[in-house]
Amino acid sequence: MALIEARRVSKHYRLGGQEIKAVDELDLSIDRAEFLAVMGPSGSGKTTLLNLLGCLASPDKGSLKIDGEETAALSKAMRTKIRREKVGFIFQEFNLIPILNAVENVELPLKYQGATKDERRRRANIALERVGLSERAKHKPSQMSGGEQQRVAIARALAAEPAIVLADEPTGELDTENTSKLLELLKDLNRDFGQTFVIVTHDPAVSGFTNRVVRLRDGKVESDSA
Amino acid sequence: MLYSLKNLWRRKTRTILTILGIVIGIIALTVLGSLASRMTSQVKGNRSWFVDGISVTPGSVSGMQTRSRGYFEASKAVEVEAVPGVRSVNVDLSVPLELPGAADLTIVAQGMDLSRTDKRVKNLKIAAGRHLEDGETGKTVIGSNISESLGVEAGGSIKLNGVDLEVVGVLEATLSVPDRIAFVSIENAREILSGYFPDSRLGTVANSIRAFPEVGIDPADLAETIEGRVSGVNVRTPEEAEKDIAQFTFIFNAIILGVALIALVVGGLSVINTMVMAVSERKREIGVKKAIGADTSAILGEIMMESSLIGFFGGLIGVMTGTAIVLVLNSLSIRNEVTVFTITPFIVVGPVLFATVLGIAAGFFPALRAARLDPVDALSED
Repeated sequence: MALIEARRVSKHYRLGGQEIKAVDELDLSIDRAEFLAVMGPSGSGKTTLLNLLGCLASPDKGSLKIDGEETAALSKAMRTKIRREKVGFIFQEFNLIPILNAVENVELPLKYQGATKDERRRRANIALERVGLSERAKHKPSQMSGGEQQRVAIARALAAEPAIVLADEPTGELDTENTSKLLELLKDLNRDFGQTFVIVTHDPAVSGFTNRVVRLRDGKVESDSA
Repeated sequence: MLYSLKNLWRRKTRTILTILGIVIGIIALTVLGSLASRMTSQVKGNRSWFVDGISVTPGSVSGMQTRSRGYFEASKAVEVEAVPGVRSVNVDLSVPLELPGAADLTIVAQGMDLSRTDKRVKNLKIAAGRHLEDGETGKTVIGSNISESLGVEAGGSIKLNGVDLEVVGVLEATLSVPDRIAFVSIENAREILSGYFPDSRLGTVANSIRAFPEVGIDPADLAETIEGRVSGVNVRTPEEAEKDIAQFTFIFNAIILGVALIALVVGGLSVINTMVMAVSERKREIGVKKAIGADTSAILGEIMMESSLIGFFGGLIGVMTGTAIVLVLNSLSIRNEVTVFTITPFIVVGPVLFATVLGIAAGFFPALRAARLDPVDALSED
């Protein structure tokens, strides 16, 4: 069974009286432990698709199963629960909480899962070690470089060991050197821990690292390399 | 909690100003609260003193040929006692005096007919010594203020208008009228009074009778009957006295309530304003937290923890400042033998709780807004 199973999924918005078909009758199936890039021009529906896969939004039409569970008709609270238990997010702008240091940022999803303080700290330290930032655990985001901040964000996404890690333009704010380092790190993590990575990107460099590239146009899958 | 403190500290000036808004309200609440508690304890003390029994005082006509007004023959008591429905009467002669040795303190020498048991006096608690007994003269039981001002304890002696009296008892403080009364026999009171009117015949005067109704008799009806049957007296029922006291207490409570309401509105609005701003500044962060699994209660809790801390610190600083002000004012006024404020545990704990609850309540609306943010919208916020 596929980890993510989207059947004729649509998500439309109204913008200035005009209906925008951000995602339009899209079919997509993603297996466990895939390392996949979603590419396409601006407005092709990449971010909307990511929001749907991450249960940040729910489809207007169609069926979207995550780990066997139909998410199309779930309440907000149930979608929050799926995000908490099954999904990790990596954002373009890192989105770390500025008043928390690295390890505290990584602990956040564990806190929302209700882990004890010791357990949180232990698992957050493991996650930081995986991204090679153990020695920066007590540093605030403002004291770290962009590449380091993004690695903290990755550790945060991985800390709760979610089945799916969704990344929205994770290399968008990084230079070439940091971009390849980051992609290698993601690839290693995917290989070592078997989590599914879905990376939305404009960056052609990313597709070189992934096993599969899904191209979107006008809210539909234009091509799928798998 | 540490996290909330860090969040509050991100906008130091705004947080401090908001706390200050609450501090000012709470200072007002503490100062007026301790003033009211002083008043209330005084009123309460006065209440049992004034409300019990029907007060019978001299009316316009008294057959006495003295310069004094407001006296009648003690034999009036017999007339009052004869009115059907009267269970017992007390007869008093109260003489106001300046206390020698403590010029600012005006006291009352209250002469009692000791052959009649005065329940109100017997109810006053003795701190040292004992109450007066029937037939005793030349002896006194004094209130706590008199004892403190003169430094006289039970076993000592005082001189009132030239009359020497042995102090056989000192009363416990009531924060009320009895603290400034020296209880003596009515005969001694007449001697003390004659210090003012050396030429007069004061042999049998009194100036207050208190009548207690029999069980089942309505005091108001009985007061009317007494007024009709006994000439030359004014009668005051317990209800009338009660009404005066209730009105007094009501006005004070209304002032406190008014101040509390103003503090509530001003403090509450400024907390709401601060938290609404904090939420809109941190929209993106809230979006991130929701994306990574924070549920409604986690977001609500985070925002309301911050607003309750604002309230708590405002309350704490306000109470500490208010208490300091009250203590300073009290130490200044104690030189005049009065304390204006009474600090009770409730006055210290109450406003802190009040401000904390206010903070929680004021934080609820902004917190709800934060919790209801759509994570997709919040994340796209710049």
